[in-house]
Amino acid sequence: MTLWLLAALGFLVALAPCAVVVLRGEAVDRLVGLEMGAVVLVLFMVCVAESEHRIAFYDLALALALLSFGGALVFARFLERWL
Amino acid sequence: MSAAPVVIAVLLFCAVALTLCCTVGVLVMRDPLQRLHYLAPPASVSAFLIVAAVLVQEHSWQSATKVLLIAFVLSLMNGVAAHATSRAALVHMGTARPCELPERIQIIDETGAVIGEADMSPGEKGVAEVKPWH
Repeated sequence: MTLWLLAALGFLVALAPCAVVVLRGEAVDRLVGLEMGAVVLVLFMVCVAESEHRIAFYDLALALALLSFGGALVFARFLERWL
Repeated sequence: MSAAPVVIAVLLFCAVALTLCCTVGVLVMRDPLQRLHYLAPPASVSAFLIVAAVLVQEHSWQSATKVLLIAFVLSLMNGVAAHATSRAALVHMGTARPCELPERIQIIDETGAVIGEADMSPGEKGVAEVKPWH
């Protein structure tokens, strides 16, 4: 097991507290947990891409970073206006 | 033995440890605004630690450029997302004012004459203070 896979495993472990925050708590707390989970997942994907030596996997991480940003903005506006 | 694996291991360990601490911080904090503070370190520090590790490991500029782009996207957009989320949290908690009120208003009677003015900042009892017009 390479160092990068170990780091990816560490990031997977770091997803657990985010999942707990998302599964319980109020709507805004869940949104914060979702944003944190997206950041951790992007870092996890970078580590997996580096361990597998696949440059195409970086695009997945980049797409997730961009889409999670848009999603967070939409959720925040939704919470601000309608909930 | 080359120093590169040791440097990579240290950088990755720091990134993972920082991210783990911050996720535990998100879990432990009670307020959404307190939780939001823990979003910044993984998106900025951990991301650039991983960029440094990739730069030490990789010799191709293609993957290094992509990882650098990912780190910049994370660190720049995290601030905007955190700002939007904190606004939503303030509105959700009822702390933010729903609309902007003027600091002072004039009181007009049925004839249209100005008979007084009111200070919209709350007084001692939390009620707007009304002063006679001079």
